[in-house]
Amino acid sequence: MRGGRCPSWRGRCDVGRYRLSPLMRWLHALGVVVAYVVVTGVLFWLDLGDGGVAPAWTIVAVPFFYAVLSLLFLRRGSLARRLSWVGGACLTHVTLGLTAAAAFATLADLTTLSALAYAFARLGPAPFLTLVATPLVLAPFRGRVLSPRPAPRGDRARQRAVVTPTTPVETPVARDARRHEDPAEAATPVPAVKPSAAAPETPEWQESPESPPDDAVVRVRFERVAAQLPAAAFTLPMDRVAESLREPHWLTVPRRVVLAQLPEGAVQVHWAIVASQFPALAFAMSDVEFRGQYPNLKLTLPLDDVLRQLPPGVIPTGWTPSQIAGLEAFPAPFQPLPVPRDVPAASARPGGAAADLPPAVAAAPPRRTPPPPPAPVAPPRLAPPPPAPVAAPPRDPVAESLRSAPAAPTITPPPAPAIVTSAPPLPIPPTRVAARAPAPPREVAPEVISRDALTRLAACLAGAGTFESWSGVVESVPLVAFVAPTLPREAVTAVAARVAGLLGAAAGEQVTVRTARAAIVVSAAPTPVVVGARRPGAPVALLELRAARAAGLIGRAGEGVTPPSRALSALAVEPRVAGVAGTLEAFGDLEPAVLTDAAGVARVYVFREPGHEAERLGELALAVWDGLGRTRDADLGALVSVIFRQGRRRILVRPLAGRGTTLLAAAGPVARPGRAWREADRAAAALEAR
Amino acid sequence: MSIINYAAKVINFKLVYYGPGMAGKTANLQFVHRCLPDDNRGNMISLATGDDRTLFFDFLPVSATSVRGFTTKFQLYTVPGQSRYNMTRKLVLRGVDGVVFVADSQWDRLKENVESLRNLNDNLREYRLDLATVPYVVQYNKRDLPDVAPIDYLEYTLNRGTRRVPAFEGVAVTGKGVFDTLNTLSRMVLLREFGQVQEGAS
Repeated sequence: MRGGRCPSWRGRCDVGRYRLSPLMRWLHALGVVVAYVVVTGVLFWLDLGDGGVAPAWTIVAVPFFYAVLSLLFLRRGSLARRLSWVGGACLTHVTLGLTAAAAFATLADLTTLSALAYAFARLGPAPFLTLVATPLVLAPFRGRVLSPRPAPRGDRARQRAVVTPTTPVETPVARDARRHEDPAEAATPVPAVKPSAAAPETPEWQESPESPPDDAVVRVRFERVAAQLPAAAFTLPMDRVAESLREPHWLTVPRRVVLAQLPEGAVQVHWAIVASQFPALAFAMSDVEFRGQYPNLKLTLPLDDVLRQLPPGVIPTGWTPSQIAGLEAFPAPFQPLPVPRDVPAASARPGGAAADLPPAVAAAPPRRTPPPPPAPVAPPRLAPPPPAPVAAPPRDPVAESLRSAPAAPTITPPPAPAIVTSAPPLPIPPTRVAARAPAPPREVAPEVISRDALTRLAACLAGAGTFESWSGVVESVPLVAFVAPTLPREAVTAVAARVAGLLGAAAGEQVTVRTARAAIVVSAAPTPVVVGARRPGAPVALLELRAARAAGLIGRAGEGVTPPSRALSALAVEPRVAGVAGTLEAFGDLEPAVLTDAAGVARVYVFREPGHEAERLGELALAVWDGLGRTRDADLGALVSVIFRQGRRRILVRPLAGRGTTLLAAAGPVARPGRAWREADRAAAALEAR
Repeated sequence: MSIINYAAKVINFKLVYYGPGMAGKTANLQFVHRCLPDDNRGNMISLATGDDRTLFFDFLPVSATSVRGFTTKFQLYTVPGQSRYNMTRKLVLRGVDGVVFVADSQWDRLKENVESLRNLNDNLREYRLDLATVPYVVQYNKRDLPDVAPIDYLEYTLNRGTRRVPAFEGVAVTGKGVFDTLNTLSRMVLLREFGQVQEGAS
C-alpha cells in the first residue's frame, strides 16, 4: 500500500517488516499467536465471571470488521484480493480462537464446547483480543498480498519439494549476469536469452505475469540507477530499497525496450516499466501522487551493463576502417612537425641550439630573409607552401624561444622592425601620409607580440564577426590586424597604415574608413589595432567599440603626427553652403568655410565648431585624401568617408563628386554618430548638386 | 563550396569540425596549429569562454599542397558544441567543403553525439547538402579515457548511414589521429574537387 500515510498504521506495520525473510515472517506470526494465547490464558485464569461475557453480535461482526479493515489496509488492492484477505483474516481469527480454546481446555479441564464458548464469547476480552491479534499475525504477509506478482503459496510449496530449498532459484537473466561477473564464465559466449529453453529451470520466472515467457530481459544493478530516483519519494534509504526489490539489487527491463533505443546512444526506461519491482511500502506517497509529482520520470540505464547482456549480432563487430577509392592519388596534404611546438626545446631536440642561446639572443626577434621584390599583384595571405615535404624542417631557435615567451601582451623594442608572418611587407606607395612626416619613434615593435596576446586581443572582438589575425609592419607602420577572411588583408593594412600615422593628438584615438565594400577601424595604440570587415556586415559601431577595447589592452598611443601644413586660402561662403551647415545638426552649431589650395585644384568645404581653425581641418582632410583618395582597391572599392574620433568629437571627411579634389570636412561633438553620418551624406549630395 | 582564385591560382576549401560540446574540436585545431610548419599555417583565432568552451568558433587557415598548379588552402573551423548555439553552427556550415565529426567516446556522452550528428545533418540540409554527399569523416576522440564505449558501438550509432565513412580513433590532446583525420578529409575534398585523375599533385 503506497498510501501508507496513517502514522498509527505505519507504526504498527513497519515497512521494515517487508524485508523479512519468509522464516522471519512465520516466526513473527507465531510470536503474536503465543502472546495472544498467553494473554487470554491469564485472563481466563483470573476468571472475570459472567460479567465479562461478550455480546452475541461480536461473533457476527467479525467479517464486517475485517472487511472495513481491508478497506484501510489494502487500498491499492483489487476487490478479489480484499475479499481473499478478509477470508484469510476470518480464518486466522477462528484459528486463534481455537488455539485459545485449546489452551483453556488444558488449563481448566473443560469440555471442548465450553472451551470454545469461553474463547469466542464467555470470556469477554478474548474476542476483542482476537480482533487485534489477527491483523498483527497477518501484517508480515501484507506485502505479498499487495504484490502484483501472485504468490501462490501452494505452488511454491510444491516447487520447494522439487528444487533444493536452500539454493535460490536462478533466473536465466541472473545466470547470464553471473556469467558476466565471473570472468571464467564471461569468456564463454553468451547465448541469447531464450526463456523457452530455460523454462524447465525457471519456473518462478515464468510465473510472473508481467514478463511473458517469450520476452527476454536485461538486468541492471540498482545501485547504478539509484541516483536518478527522487529520494524524497521513498521512506527508505536507497540501499534498503535495493534490498527490497523484487530481485534484490537488480532491476529488470524487457530487452525489446533496450533494443529499440540502442541507436540513440542511450537507453531510458519509463518509470512505469520498473515500478512494479519496487516494494509498495518503500514509497512515501501513493501511486497517484508519485505519478503526479514525477510524470516523466525515466531511468537512464548504464549502457556498458546493457551491451554486455545483448546477444551477439545485435551490434556488428569487427570494425575496420573505411577505404575510399581514389584517395591514394593524392598525397597527404599536411605533414606535422616531428615534435609539437609546446614541447620544450631541450626535449624536442637533444642538444638543441635554442637552449644554449644566451637570453639576449633568445629574446631577439626573428630575422627573416629580405622580402621579395614588390609584385604587381598583391601577394597571397599565406606564402605558397613547399610541396609538403616536411619530414624534419629546420627549426629557428629564435622563433622557438619567441613562441615560448610569456603570455603577457607586453611588447619589447626590437633592433629593427621585422615581419613575423610569412607575408612580406608591401612596397611603399608613392603617395601616403605616413611617408610625408618623419617616422615617429615607436615605443614598441609589433612583431614580438606573443600569440597569447594576439589571442587575447582577438577575444575582444567576440561577436563582432569573423577575423583572421595578423601582425607585422606595413609601410614602416607596425600593425596588429584582424581582417575578415573575405577581405584582402594587404589592402586593408595598407589603408590602415596610411591613416594610422594621423592618429594621436591631431586627429584622435580612432579612425574609421568606409569604402564601398569595407569598413576599416584603426585604433591608436603603440601598435595600432586594425579591424577590417566587409560592408554591409558587422555594425561599424560595434567594430569601433571592440577595436577600442583591444587597443586598450596594448597601451596608450603616442602623440601622433601633425598633418603637413599647406597654403590654404579661404573663399567666400555661398548662402547655399551656409544652408548646408544648418543641416548638420548632429555636429552642433557649425561655422562654414570654403578653402582651396594654392593651385586651386583642391577645394574643401569645412564645417567646424566656433573657435576652431578651419585651416587645420582642411589640412587634415587633404592629408586624408592624399593618403587614401587615390587608392581604389578592387576588393575595397572607392573611399566613402573617413571619421576620426576624439572622445565625443568626430571629424568626418568625405570626398565629393566633381572636378579635381573636392572634400567635405565636418567636425563637432557628436552624440549620435549614425545620424551625423547620414546628415553628412545628405550634405555631400547637396554640395555635389551645385 | 570551394573558392577558386584563378588569378592567384589559389583554391580555398572550408573544413568544419563538428560535434557535441567538449568533444575535442578545438583541441584538434590547436594540435594542428602547433604541429604545422610556419609556412603552412596562419594564426588561429579562438574565442572561448572562461571555461574553455568555444564561444563563437575557432578559425585556423592552413595551406597545403599544390594540385594542378593551384595552391590549396584550407580554412579549418570549429563550431560551438553547446546546443544553444545552433544559429552559429548554421552560419559556420555555410559553404562547407568537408566535415569532421568529432565524437566523444565516453559512455555518458553518446547521446549527445547522436544528437549532434542529427543536428549536423539538419543544418546541412538547410544548405541543400547532405551527409551522404558531403566529404565527411568521423573521429572517435578521447580514446585514452577509461570509460569509453567500444568502437563497434560507436560505429553502430554514428556511422551507419547510407554510406560508411572513414573513422579514426583519436586523442586530440596528444595528437593521436588528428592528422590522420585531417589528411583523409582533405584528400576526400581534393578528390571531390579534382576527380579521380590527379595529375598535378606534388
